[in-house]
Amino acid sequence: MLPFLLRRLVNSIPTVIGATILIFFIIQLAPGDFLTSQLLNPNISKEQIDNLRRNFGLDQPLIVQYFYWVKNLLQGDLGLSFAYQQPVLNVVAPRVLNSLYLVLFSTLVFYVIAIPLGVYGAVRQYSIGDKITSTLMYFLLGFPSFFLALIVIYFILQIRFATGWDIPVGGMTSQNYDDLSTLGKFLDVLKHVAIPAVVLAIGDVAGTTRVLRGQMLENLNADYIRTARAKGVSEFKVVYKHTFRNAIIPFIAGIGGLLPALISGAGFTEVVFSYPGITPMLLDALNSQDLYVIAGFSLVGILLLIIGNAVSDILLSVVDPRIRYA
Amino acid sequence: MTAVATDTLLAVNGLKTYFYTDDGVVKSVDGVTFHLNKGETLAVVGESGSGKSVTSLSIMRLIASPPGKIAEGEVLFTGKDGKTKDITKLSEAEMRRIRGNDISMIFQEPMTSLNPVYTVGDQIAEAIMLHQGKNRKEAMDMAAGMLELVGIPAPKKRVHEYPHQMSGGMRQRVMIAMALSCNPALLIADEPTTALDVTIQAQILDLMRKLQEEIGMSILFITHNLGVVAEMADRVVVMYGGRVVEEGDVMEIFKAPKHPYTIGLLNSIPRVDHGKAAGDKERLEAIPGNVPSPLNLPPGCAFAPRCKYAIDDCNKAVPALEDTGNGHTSRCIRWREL
Repeated sequence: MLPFLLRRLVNSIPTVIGATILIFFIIQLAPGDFLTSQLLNPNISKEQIDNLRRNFGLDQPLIVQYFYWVKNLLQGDLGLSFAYQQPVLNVVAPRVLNSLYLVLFSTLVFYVIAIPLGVYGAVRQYSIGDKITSTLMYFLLGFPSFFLALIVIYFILQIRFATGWDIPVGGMTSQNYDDLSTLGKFLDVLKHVAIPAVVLAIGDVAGTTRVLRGQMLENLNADYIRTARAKGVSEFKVVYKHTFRNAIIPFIAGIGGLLPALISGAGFTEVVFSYPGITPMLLDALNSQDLYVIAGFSLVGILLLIIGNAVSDILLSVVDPRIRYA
Repeated sequence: MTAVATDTLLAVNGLKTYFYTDDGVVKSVDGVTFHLNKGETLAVVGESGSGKSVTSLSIMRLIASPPGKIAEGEVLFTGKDGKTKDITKLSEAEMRRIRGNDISMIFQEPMTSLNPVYTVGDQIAEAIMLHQGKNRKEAMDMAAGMLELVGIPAPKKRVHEYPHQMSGGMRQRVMIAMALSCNPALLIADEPTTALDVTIQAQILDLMRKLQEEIGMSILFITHNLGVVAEMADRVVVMYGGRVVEEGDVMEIFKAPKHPYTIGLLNSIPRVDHGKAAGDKERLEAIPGNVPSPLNLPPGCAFAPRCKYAIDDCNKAVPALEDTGNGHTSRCIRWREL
């Protein structure tokens, strides 16, 4: 196992180098830079802009900028955000943390919904319940989650007007958040996170449910399931011990993507719910060409993906004894 | 309930297992009757689609339902507790206590019949823990003992191996170890050697015979291989189109078959004692035509369309199973002339 991990580490070095090159130069494909938009600002003189450009290093050739960036990266410095005038890490970290609450909760809800539905669909194949969930799943599959979010917000507002209940539909905290106790703060965030998290989970649940159902069906018809039944194993154990254990193997291979997903935020769902996650900040950074915020964030995502893939390979060898690394 | 002789372990009476499909009712097993005595080996012979596997799965109550269903008949089985029960009427929980404990089964495909993610020891121990109330450690020790019994070298080490680390023959030995781990009264072997190469086949058959002597169980041996029948069986049931067409002592059937289908089967295997000089090539006889679709069986004898002895009367009604003497029966109206 250890030699495998070491080889894995060495092999990922060129990947990371390639990734830094791609990230940096693809961002540069957009015309202009962070200061271009300031040219139209009558309050800032041309000289000031030239000064800033020199300060930010934007007057240097791209290749020189790239190597400065890499040199700083090697010292653990992701660079400076132009817009915030602070290190990228300090700017991004609190937002990533906010997103993490949302994504963690949503991932939990996601599996709590997807696994039972997938198993149910296979065990009771073609039953009324299976047909209803299948239809619903196909419907959700064609539904972008931000649009689902809009519909949910609409209905929640209707309920709010009708009943006067205080159901939050945006933001992450209530106005009196700072006065609350620790537990109260936790519950307040939970209250705000719940609806976007559930919407996010439901929007994504269809694909996994369908695949799990297919995997379960395939394994339920396997010869070794007949063997288990012939031994007198109960139906519950047949489903969960013998079938499910085999059916989840392909999903373990996908776990690597979970790690970068945890920091990448909830996408447009955050925007729709005006949630202070990482997505709105990244969109701003893209618009204003805040170079190092985008580059630094993308790079961290890629590092996490590489680590995540290694983790899922290790997990895979734990779950499936046929896979061994030497 | 039909009376059961004291030395009868299993009595299948008029068993009908039907599959209700969109295309119609498939009568895979249509009124099968046979019995199996204690310590005896009964071979059920027939082509693919003759209903022999469905018969064995019906005895285990492992027919997928829907679409399958035991429509009629009874399966009387005398368990290790000495009580005779009708298996078709038992609850699912009662049936689970019989499966793997009183009746065990081994299958045709040793390569896929073991769960790939558990060690062979775990899989054998599962049955032991389930039926004998042992804890995990005791069960694992017993599993290693079973592996030794079925002739797997270094059983203490191999008990912790996974199925993919073993060959087909080894895996079938593991299946046998699992099936026999609770000393069943009946072992159903559904073509256990079909997927193995010939040298391994002989080893597995030897092993089964040896263990039958040691444990004293009965074997219901399902096969299409008449060579295996001659080697293993005491009595033979020949099935065709979901019905028993001939039943009798193994020597009787091989020497004096009383059904044209059995005759056809016997003529289609090469024999050493057919007194032909070297170089004198004799073509093997094949049975013309195909097995009839179980959706659309002929109204009379199911074998009539392929039978060279068929006369008009054969197509009128399903022939009865007639006694031809010595406990030998045949479902052919012309058995006296054969």
